[in-house]
Order: sequence, then structure tokens, then C-alpha cells
Amino acid sequence: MVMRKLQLELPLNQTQKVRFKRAMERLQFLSSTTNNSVIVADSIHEDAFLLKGHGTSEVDGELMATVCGVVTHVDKLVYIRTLRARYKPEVKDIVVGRVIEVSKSCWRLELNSTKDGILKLSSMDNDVQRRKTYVDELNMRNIIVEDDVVCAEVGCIHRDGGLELRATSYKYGKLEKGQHLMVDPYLVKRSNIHFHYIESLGIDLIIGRNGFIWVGEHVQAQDHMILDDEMIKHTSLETRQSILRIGNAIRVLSNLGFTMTLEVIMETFNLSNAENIDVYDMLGSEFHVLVAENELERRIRRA
Amino acid sequence: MNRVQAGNELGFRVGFSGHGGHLRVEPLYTAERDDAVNSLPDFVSPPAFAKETKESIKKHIEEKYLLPRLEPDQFSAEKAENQWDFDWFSRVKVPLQPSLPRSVVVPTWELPFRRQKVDTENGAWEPKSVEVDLSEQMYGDQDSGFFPRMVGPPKDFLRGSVNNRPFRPGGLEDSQSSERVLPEGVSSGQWVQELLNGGPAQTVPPSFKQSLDLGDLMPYPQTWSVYEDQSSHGNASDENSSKLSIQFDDLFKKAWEEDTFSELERDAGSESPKAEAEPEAKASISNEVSKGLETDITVLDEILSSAKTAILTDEAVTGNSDKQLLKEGWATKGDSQDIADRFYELVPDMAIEFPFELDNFQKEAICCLEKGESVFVAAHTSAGKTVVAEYAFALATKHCTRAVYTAPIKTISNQKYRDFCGKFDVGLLTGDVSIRPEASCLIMTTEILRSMLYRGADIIRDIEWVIFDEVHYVNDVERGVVWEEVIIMLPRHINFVLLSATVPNTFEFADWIGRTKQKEIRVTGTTKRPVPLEHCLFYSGELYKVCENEVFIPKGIKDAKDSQKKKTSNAVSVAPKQYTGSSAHQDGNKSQKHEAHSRGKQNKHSSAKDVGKSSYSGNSQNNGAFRRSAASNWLLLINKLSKKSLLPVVVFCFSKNYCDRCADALTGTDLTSSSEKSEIRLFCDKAFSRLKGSDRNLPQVLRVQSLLHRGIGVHHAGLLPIVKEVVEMLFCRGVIKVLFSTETFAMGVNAPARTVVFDALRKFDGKEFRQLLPGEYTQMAGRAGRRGLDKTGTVVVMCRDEVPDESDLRRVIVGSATRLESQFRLTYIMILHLLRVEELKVEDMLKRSFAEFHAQKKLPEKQQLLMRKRSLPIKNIECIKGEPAIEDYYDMYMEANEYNNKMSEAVMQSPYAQNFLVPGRVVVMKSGTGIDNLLGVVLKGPSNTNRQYVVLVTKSEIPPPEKNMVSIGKKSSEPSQGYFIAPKSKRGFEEEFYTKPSSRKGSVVIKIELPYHGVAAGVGYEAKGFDNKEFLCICDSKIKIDQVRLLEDGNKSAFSQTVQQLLDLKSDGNKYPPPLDPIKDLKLKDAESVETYYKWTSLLQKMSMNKCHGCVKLEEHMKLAREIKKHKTDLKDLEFQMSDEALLQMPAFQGRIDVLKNIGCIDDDLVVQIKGRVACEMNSGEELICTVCLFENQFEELEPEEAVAIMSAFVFQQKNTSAPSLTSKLAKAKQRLYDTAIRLGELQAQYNLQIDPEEYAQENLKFGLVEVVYEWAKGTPFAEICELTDVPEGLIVRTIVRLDETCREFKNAAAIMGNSALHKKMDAASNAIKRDIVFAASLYVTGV
Repeated sequence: MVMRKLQLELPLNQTQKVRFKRAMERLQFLSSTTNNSVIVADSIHEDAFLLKGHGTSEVDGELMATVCGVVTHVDKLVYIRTLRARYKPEVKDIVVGRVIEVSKSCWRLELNSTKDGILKLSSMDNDVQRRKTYVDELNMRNIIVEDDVVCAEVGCIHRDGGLELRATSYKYGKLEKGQHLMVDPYLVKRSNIHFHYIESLGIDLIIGRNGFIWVGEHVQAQDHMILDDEMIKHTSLETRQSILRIGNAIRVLSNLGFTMTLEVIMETFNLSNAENIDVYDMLGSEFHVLVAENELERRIRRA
Repeated sequence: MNRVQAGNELGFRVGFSGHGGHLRVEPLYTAERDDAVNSLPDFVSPPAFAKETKESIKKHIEEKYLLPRLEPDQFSAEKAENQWDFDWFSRVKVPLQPSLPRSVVVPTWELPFRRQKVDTENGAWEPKSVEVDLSEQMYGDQDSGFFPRMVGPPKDFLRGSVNNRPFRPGGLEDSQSSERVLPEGVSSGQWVQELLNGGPAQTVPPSFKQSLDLGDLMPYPQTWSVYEDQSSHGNASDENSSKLSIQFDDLFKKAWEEDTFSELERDAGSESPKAEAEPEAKASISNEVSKGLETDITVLDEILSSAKTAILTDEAVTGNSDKQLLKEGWATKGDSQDIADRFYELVPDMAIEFPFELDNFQKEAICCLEKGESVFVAAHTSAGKTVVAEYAFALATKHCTRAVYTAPIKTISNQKYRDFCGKFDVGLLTGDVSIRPEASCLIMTTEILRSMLYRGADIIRDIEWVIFDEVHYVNDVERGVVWEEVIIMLPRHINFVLLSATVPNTFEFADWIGRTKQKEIRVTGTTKRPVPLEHCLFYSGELYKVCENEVFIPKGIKDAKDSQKKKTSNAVSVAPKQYTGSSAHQDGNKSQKHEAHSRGKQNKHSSAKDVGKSSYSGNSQNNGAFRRSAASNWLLLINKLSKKSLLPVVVFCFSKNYCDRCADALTGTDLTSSSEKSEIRLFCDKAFSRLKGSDRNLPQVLRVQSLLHRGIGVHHAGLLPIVKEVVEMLFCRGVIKVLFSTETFAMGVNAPARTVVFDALRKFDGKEFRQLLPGEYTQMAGRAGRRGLDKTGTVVVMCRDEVPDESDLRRVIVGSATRLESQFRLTYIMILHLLRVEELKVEDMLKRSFAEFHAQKKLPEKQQLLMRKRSLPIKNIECIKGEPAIEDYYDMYMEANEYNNKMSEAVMQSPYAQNFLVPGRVVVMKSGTGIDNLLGVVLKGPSNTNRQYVVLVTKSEIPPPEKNMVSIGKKSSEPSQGYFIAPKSKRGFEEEFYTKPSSRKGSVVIKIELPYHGVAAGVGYEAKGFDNKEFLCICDSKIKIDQVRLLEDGNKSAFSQTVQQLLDLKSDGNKYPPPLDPIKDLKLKDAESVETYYKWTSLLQKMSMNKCHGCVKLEEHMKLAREIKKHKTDLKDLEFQMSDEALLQMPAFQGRIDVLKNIGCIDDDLVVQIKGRVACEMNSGEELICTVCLFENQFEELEPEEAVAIMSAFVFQQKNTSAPSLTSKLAKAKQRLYDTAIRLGELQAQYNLQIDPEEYAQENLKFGLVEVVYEWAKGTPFAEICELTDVPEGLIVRTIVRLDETCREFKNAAAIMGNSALHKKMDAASNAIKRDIVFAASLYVTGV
């Protein structure tokens, strides 16, 4: 599917086409052992006594998939990890979202989930802990307005799928001076670290579990007062270029459907530097092919 | 723009204005008009604009846009007739918000909340105020209960949800640096310097980065300085003022004089004549006198003020008595008497009034509660700890917050619920019931509180108090960990009320809690009993008093012993046949004893079964005998007691079966009056009426009822809950005279008796028979004596065969209770929960556990030590040979030493070595200082008188002759060194050696002084006795020596010759000649020692290659190196102790983490996976087995009834039961589950956890009730299922009740896995078991 889409979109010349095809085929070959993706109503051929998990259903004695995705086994539990679906939240996930509405005492965030995330004023940690008053509610726009990008943590999930977010720690909150990217949620694996600080470039990289990724200038966790002062400072050209480069690297990886980890992203970033590819050329066909080949190489190395 | 000069005569002028060149007529007022014509402007206007060039345009634009200014015409000063009548700047309201102050001053309030009597001087009352750091306050708020957190759905309000995160536990040091950041100048002292010395004025406001940009207005460079001579200045002004005042005095001299005189006369008659005597010097005298007067006044003032201060200090003493408390860490202890005295002053408005006068410790505790402090109350049972709990409840009600009361067992919580019901707004939360959970006072079991904490229930935010009753339960092996967990997990805003029995280390425990919570804990309590106890022995119908008022009376026990002796001698002498014959008494005792002791073994099983089958009508011979003997014995006691009117009595037996049998043995006894009988009957009928028809006729119900009618009660875990409650309630009413009970009755249930009887002083604790612990004894004995009813409580220890030893009795009665000890252990569920929490790591939990308390307490000291050690300058070794290799050398040296020790044993002890150590053999010796090794030659082997070798060694340095003398003196004073030359050393000073013309060879007598020093061939040498341990190595070569000349004559030339020979060997290149071959020469057989020998010799060679070898400063450097090395190891040691790795539980933690990884609950990065999330839900059973069995889908083919039956294995706890007969399906499922457990056990054992798979499986899976539960779930009446097993009814009910909880957990797990079938199945199973007697509500809860 990825290939088809890419081939339609990317103007590959003949050699590139061949190279790309080869790389993708070999990649597929490498992962063929675990390739058990299904689409809706595919029957899952398994032994008896399976525990049906999420995304499965038994119809006429046959186990069927109710979503598209990859069949996953945990012992006898069979459930389907969805691909290309919306983000399915879990508690304590770190997410990045865009504010779509400032409503009464809360902000609504687009998270690519089935429901909007709700970040209440009370779960927003301002610099000063104070009683959240009516005045505060009126001043909510001073903190975050529509279209701001916010990083938060999933606090709890209601039975109906409603999401409550929390930004109680200093590391959460509004994100500025950077780029907001959206990839498919399945490309982001849960890990212990979602906040990355690439020291050599002075860049913060937040890989939200919901597939929203933030690349921005590094912000030191400091008093808000001082932070305000720093806003005056401009991001240097170099940093901006790095942000864009990483952003494009992520885009390429997303196009190709590779899992986002810091390692892969940085490798792609370095590849673009090594191959001397300009930022604006990164989305071109040549780089796509290069990244695919690089990924292939990496997997062979690991295997 | 430029004004056109049109004319100056006209009253107007024409000008151009604006950029477009508009014509404008402007009247001119000031100009005079004489020539109108001349003044006409020529209308040939000059070009309005210069020709446009690039520059001009640019200039124009620049002028227009970049240099904005007011139109000069319009706004010129002379023309400005109209003025702006408002001030822009005052109108502009800049929303200047002052930054928050760092600290605020708030009035302090101290109990009692009253104005103080002693006011300030001006008569106005000023409340004391104190500066409070605002950031701290804020931090506290923020921390207390995570207020920014969202309130969850009401459904999860109480119990929380797995999806919630726990609240941040209190007492955590904040990782997020909420510490207030002080500006740089503050910490560096710069600000202070500035204040003291002056300097340029600050232009940048604090916390701003730059100052206001004033543009052209440069800030006036001003400085401010401080008066250097402030004091002198002050003095000057003082002088001035004094001068002035004197002048002033002069003015009013007269008035002053008069005044003073009159006053003087009044005041001091002695002084007045003096003043009168010299009228001339009036002025001076008056001055003097006035001074004296002043001093008088000041004295008065002083007296007054001192009185005042006395009052004040008094106040301070009483008010701040906490400060003067014995303070040790976080636990404080105060003088309760002091508080008690002023109690009503301190707490004028009590939240709840008690109808009786409070004890001192109660007053103290209440006072602390009022202040919002945590309290630890340690007192005996029934000393009135509950009062404190009640007060906390009352306070919570008053403050509109919540209080939580946790009890270790459900019976207590039920009873407390009933007790508190009338007084407070109470709710009850246990595993199976949940009544009024919205109430402000909640009673719950500790496990519930723990799960609430882990799940972060919102209710936690409202809680102000948590009352832990019977907190000494931390000692419980199985459940103690729960208390620790809860204490560690509680958020900061919650205060503690800890109630405990008296334990020796209350203070330590309180200190731990205080430290973990960073909160002061007030320790109070009493060792006094409200009703004093009398301890007696009961032996063959007689009571012997052994202890009264905590004083042990040995006489009593002696009497008992005497009577025992008498009796046994009687028995022996009178009739052995009686013994074997019908002396039922003794015989019965024997058999009973035997039975009691073999109870834990297989015997129990059969006898229990027997009892069950025959429904408690023992008909075997044994039983009959037992019954007779026991009955007679008990009857004897009961009669005795009732004669002394010591009923009601609680008899503590340590087994359920034994309880039953004792009660049943008393067949003919009837202890109740008719009115009591009717009361009992009525109560029973009412209570049991809530049971379903067939359940009312359960054998147990009937049996107990019949017992109750006769005034006899039974109480143990085997009873049905409802029966148990009936017994408890009737006992509290005082109609039950004799109650046979197990230890559980002593735990918290508030049902005191007049007398307590111990059936035995030994009990079976699940593993072995052991003596009762003093703590247990105290707890049970504490049931004796009803407060307000009895003067004393009686405790009786039954002695059947023999009187217990005095030491045993003493230990158990007056011994101190068991110390509180941590039973902390890691559980998988704890790890999983904690891995999901960001704030609290597992290591943190471990660190805060009571077990680690002492280590953690010392941490700050260690930290300081570490800092100190680190800051020590590291000494550098300055080596003249370039880069110092001393460290390597030192290492090698140490290693060599180690080998050497090993070798010296192996080599030197070997007989072959002795052979080689003949005179003339070249050897390498250890030198006394231990640094360099010395080359030497053996001069003489060991003889009979002297076990030492005499060896001549060369030394690198030349000893000065004085040193020689000194060393001789020194050595001779040391017995070990100079023992055999001691007699000779007397004359050793004049002559260095003693010559004697003797020339016998072979048996050489040592004539010279040992050690003998000298210099030859430029090196020093020494002849000395050596132990064979001091030989480092025996060399290959031998040299010729002249023993006689050397040792007897001490001939210098002989010595120099020998030394020369040695040096020749040395100069071969190697430092030492090659050593002996261990195999060939020394004939070492042991492979290991050969190896070490080779290693060692090679090491020695290596050492000699090292640059440092032979260095002049080697010794010195070695010392340094040793110091450095020690320093380093110390550092490393300390660092290790500081690190998490030093925690006791760390290895177990690692192992468990590995197990979890292996199973797949967490991944390699410790991220909790779906399996882990399921495991988190499993509270009632072993989490791993439950989870694995779920994921293996073991319930798939089982019906709900079968599933729930299998699940009973998780919750059932009794080990030995009759084997259930199972259907093949169930048997298969059982086997599968068991195999799973075995597999898990093996896995854990593999990761170095101390687990035996078999034991693990059996410990966690007990299949005894599978059949019972299966039948129950299918709808079989309770009476029938009781027939299926020997398990007591009470346990069956308890198991099934807990099963319901398990069903709920499995249901939640199914939701996480997304399996609706399992969810439904569990629902059905839960419904199937929830019926009838098993889920009958508690009498305490519903009321009778």
C-alpha cells in the first residue's frame, strides 16, 4: 500500500524505481516472518481456544477481524493492533495536540483520537499555584489560544472514550518556535522517553504517542518570567534549518511507514547531511529511495 | 514646509503649508502695518519642492517616517494657547501587577485561640506574627493531593480506577526543583556586601533582565554609601542630646529640685538629708539624685517587666512545650502532664465532648489533633485509644473533611462501624460491603485504602485524617507490608493517627513515619492499664497468683510447683495402677495434650473429618476420654471462678477444633438464669431470622445456639460470620459466661471479660509450635477487666500436667513485647503499580520502607562524610623518575602479599623447604616495614631453643650508628623480638659483639647481638632472627659463609665478605637470583599452590621491573599510595552505600523485574505492557498465576460455575483439607492451573528468587474448596455443601465472599483485554455465588 501510494506521488525515474522496488521488497522479505496484517472481515486462522481481544469477533465459529491492522498475540490472547486508525489513548501517554477551542475552563485539543482531548484549566500548571478563579477563566486566552500546540499527558480516560489531559509538570505545556508534524499513531511506539533533547543541535523533539510530533528549539525549563524574555530572541538560522531538516526526515519516514524512534530519525537526519541533500530536496524522490535503502541496511545489520 | 516670507506689513500673511503646498492665510497680530502695498506678496511663488532626486526622496521619507515629531507650527510653544488638559500618563492605566512576595507575614495562632492576657506596652493587643515563606506554602498546596488534577467520574470517586494515577506520595523530595531560586547576589553574599559598604544604585529591578531604557536620559550615576562611623556618629548625637537635656534641665532646675526632693522624701529618707545639707551644690546633686531616681525607676521597671516576662516565659514554656520536647528526628515526645493540666485552656471548644474525664495521653493526643499534627498513640488494649480515633472523626466532621479509619481485620471494622454509627456520619468499605461511601468518616480495611491510593481515587483529596488502628500489625508477615505501603503512599496533606499496642520501639517507628512523610509525629501513650491485671496459675483446682500490678511474684509459682511435686510423688507412690486404670484425669490430660500437639499434622485431618461427619458428637473412645477429662478440668475452673465471681471468662485456645471440643465437652453445664435464657433466645431468633429456611437449621447454627442458651460461647474463624457476630454481641451484653475463642477474638474486638484464661502458653503459628510471644500474651490478657465494671482483671494460665517454668512465665507475662519490624517485601503488583507512576520509583519505595529506615537515616551523615572525603586534597606522589608507576606497583605489591601469605603456608611448611633452608642459602625476606624485600642469606637454621632462622639481610640504606644503638634498646624492650638475647643486651653497649674463643663447628652458638647491624661494601646489613613466615622466596643459589666467624666472632670482614657475595648475585641483572623450582625442588604436589607459586614469582619479577622498584623514596611513596588507595576504596564504599544498589531488597527487585520481563508484563524498557496492566488488577490472588492463566485462556471451555470453582484456589487459604472429588473437567483444569504455577515457580527460581516451585504452587493454589464452590455456584443449599468438606463453615463463607471480589477483578481484566465473553462469564459467576447465607449482611452493619 505504501509503495503504491508513493509511486503515485513520487516522480521516480527508472533507476530510482528499480532501486526503490528492490529495497522495499527486501524489507518486506525481512519482515515477512511476522507479516500477519489483516483487513476487516479477514478471518484469523488460529488454533482453538484463543482469547479474543480487541478488534476481533467471532462470526459463525470463525474468528474475524473487525479492524484493519496487525494480529498480535500475547500468549493466547489475540488482538489486532490497528494501523492507520485513530489514536487509542492509554493513561500516561504523552501526547502533542493542537488547541481547537477555548471553552469554559478548559481547552479542547485535537489529538487524532476519536474524541477531543480536554485540558482543563485546573490541570494546567501555571507558574504560580493559585486558586483557579473566574478571572483565570477569563484569562485563559493569555495562556493558550486556538491553534497553539500543546504537549500534555493523558490523565484519565472516561468510559466513553473521552480524554482528560494533564499538564502539571514543567515539561508539559505550550510549545513554541518549532514545527508540528503529524504521522500515523502506529508509527510511534510507547517508550519511557518521549521527550528528546538533541543536544548537538539544540533541538527538542517530542514524539507524541498520538502521532503528533513536535520539533522545536530547545527550551530550558525555567521560570516563565524569564521565558518571556527569551521569546524576544530569535531562533538562529542554523537551528531553524535543523528543525526543518528533522521535520523533513520525519516526513520521509512517515511516507515510507517506518517506526519513529530517535535513533531512526537521527540516522535519517545524518544521512541527509552526509549525502549533502538540501532541506527542500529531502522530500524529493531521491532521498526517499536513499532512506529506504538505509533502513534496509540497518535492518540487515541488526538481523 | 518652509515659511514663505510674504511680507511683514500685513495683518496676515500667505504661506504654504503641507507637502502639497496649500495656500494658507495666516493673520499676523504682532506686526505693525504701514505699507500695505509693499506688504503684498508677490504671487510668483518659488517652486514648492526642490527637484526630486533619489536622495531627496530618501531624505524626505526618512524625515517623514523615521523622525516623527510634532508639527512645529501647530505645537510651538508660543502658539500653544490651548493646552492638553489631561495628563496622558496618569490616564494610562498600566496593569502593573506586583510580583508575588517571597514571604508574607501572617499572624500566628496558638491554641487556645484567645487573645493573650499580656499585652504590649501601649495596651493594644497584637497577635504574634510569623514570616511564612510563600513558595513553601504554594508548594505545599500544589503537592497536597494534586489539586490541578481533574475530578474523575463519580463512579470512580471512591475506589478510584486503574486508569487513574496515584497521588503524589508525601515526603518525597521534589525532583522538579520547586526549590526557590534565589538571585545570584543573595547566595554569593554580594547583596549583603552592598548593604554594608554601599555602592552604585541598582538600576535593574530584581528578577528583571535589564532596566528601563531611558534613551538619552542617562541614569544619574549615583552611589550611596553607608556611614562608616555609624557608631561614633550615634555617640556624638547622644552626647549632643545629653548636652541639650542638661541645658533643658537647667531651665527647669527649680521645678526639678522640688519634685525630686518631695519624691526623695517619700522614697528614701536616707538620701534626703544629704541633699539638704549642701544647698549650693543643688544642681549637681539634683542631677545625681535624679539619676538615682531614674535608676530606681528602672529597677522598678525591671521588676515589673521581669514579672511580665516571667508570665510570658511561663506562657512560652507551656505554649511552646513542643519545642522543649525531647526531640529526636521526626518523632517528638512531650510532657503530657503539662498539656493535661491546661487542657481545657488549650482546647476550649472540643469537637466532641466525652462524658468522662480524659486520660493524660488522650488529652495530649487530642491537643495535637487540634493543632493538626500527627499522633502516634501506644497503649494497652482498652486503655482508651479509641477516644483519639473518635476525636479525629469529630474533627473531620467539624472541618468538613474526611477521615479514614483502617483496621486490620474485617470484624474490627464492622464493629467500629456499629460503634461509631450513632455518633458520626460513618461509611463502611470492606472487600464485600460498601455502605454510605460518601460519608465523612470512612471505615475500611487497609487493603482497600491501598488500592484506593494506587488507583488515585479522588476521595483521597478530601481526607484529612487516616487512623491506623492496631498499627503493630506491620509485624504481620503476610500483611504487614500493606501498612508500610500505605504509609509510604499517602499524600502529604493527610495526617496520621496511629494507634498501637505498646511496643518497645514505638519511637523508632514513629520516627520512620515522620521521616518518610517529612512530618512531625507526636508520640504519646501510656503503659498503664485502666484495669490492673492479676496473673494466676491454675493447677489442680487451685489458683496461684504469680503476678500482680506488673510485678512478678515468684512465690506463687513455687507454691504451684510444690503442689505439683506433691501430687506427682503421690501418684507415683500411691498407685501406678491407678495411673493406668481409671485415673481419667491424668490419662485424659495426656491424650488431650498429645492431640493438641499433633494437631498440625495428619492427625488433625482425620480427627477434624471425624468431628465434621459425626457433627460434633464424638463417640470414639479417645474423644470420650478427652471430653470427660476436659470437662472436669474446665468445670473445676469455672466453678472456682464463679465462686470468686470472676465470670464472664474468655478462654483462649489456639485451635478452632479444640475450641469446639472444649465447648462441647461442657454438656451438662448451665450458667444462665432464666431471664438471660430468654434474652438469648430472643436475640438468636431475631438474628437468625434473616437466614433462609434451610440455612437456619445448619448444624453449626443449631449447635452454637444450644451452647449459647447455656451461657457458653465459641468464637473462631470457622464459624459463620453471622454466628460469630451473634456470639460477640451476646458476649458484650454479658449473658455469655464462658467463651472459648481463638486468638482472633483478642484482636481489636472490643469485648472485655472479667477473666481471661489461657489454655496453653504454646501455640502453633502455621509453621511450628512455639511459646507465646509477650506481645501476644499482653494483647490477649488485655481482654481481662472491663473498664468501669471491674477493679482488676484476672488472667489465668491453665496448667494441666506441669507447671510452666518460672523463666518462661516471667518472659511471657512481664517481658517486653516484640519490636515492630519491617515485613516489607516486594510484590509483583507493587512493582507494576510503581512502574506506571512517574513520581515514585520502586527504588524510592524500597528506600522508604521501614527496613531501610536506619540506613536511610544515616544517609545525610554519610553524604557529609562523602563530601568531606571528596574535598580532601588528593596527595600526589612526586616521583623523580617521571610518571609515577607507584599505583601499579602498589597493586602488584598487594597482590604479591596475598600470594605470599598463601605460599608461605604451602611452601614453608613443606619438609622440602626445610631442607633447603640450610646456612648459606640465599633467600628473599620480607622486610619489617613491609615495603621492600630484602635479599639475604641464611646463617643458621632453627634449633631447639630458638625456632627462628638467623638470616643476614642486606639493606638499601645505611643505618647510622646511633640508630643501631637505639634500635637495640628498642628491640630488647620488645619481648617478641629480643627475647633470647635479653640477658646479653645488658652489656651490649660498650661492645658491639661478644667474642669468645670458641671454634666448635656445627653447633654454633650465637654470640653476637641480634639484630646485628653493620655496613659493608656500601650497603647496610642486618643479622636477625626470622620466623619462617617471613621468607618470601628461597633462591636457587647458595653462597659460602663462615658461620663461626659470623655468628660467634662477629667478624666484620666475614660479614663484608658475605655481603659482597650477596651483592654479586644481585648484580646479575635481576634483582633477585632465580627462585627454586616449586615442582622440582620443593616437590609441591598441589596444582593450585604450584600455580600460585608461579604467579607470585612472576609478579615479583614484574615488580622488580617496575620503575619504582629500588626507588629511594619507595617506602614513603608506598605509604602515600596506601593512603590514596584507602581513600579511594572508602569513597567507593560510601558511594555504594549512598546508591540504590545498597538497598536490601535490590537483588530481589532485579530478579522480579527479570521475571516480569520474561513473562511479558513489561518490556525491556520497563514499559508496562497489556499483560502487566491486567496483572495490576489482580489483588486477591497471586497476580502472576492469575494473569498467566487468563492469558492462556484457561477458562475458555469452562462454564461460569466451573470457572469460579477453579478460581477459589486463588483465595482459599487453608492448607490441609479433605480432597475434593472433582469432575473430570474440573480435574483437568485444576491440573493445568497447577502446572502453570509450577512453571512460574521454576521461572522465578531461575531468576534467583528464593522460591521453591512446588511450595510456591501449593502456597498460592489451594484446591480444597473447588468442589464446594462448584456446588454452591450450581445452587446447592449451604447445608449440603458443608457436608462435602471438613473445612469449617466460616472459612467457606469467607472464601466465597472473597471470590466475588476476584470475579470483579477478572471482569476488569477482561475489559482490558477486550474479551467480552470472559467479562460475561465472570458476571454470571459472580451472580451465581452471591446469595443466601454467604452474602448475608453483617449484624453490626444492619443492626439486629
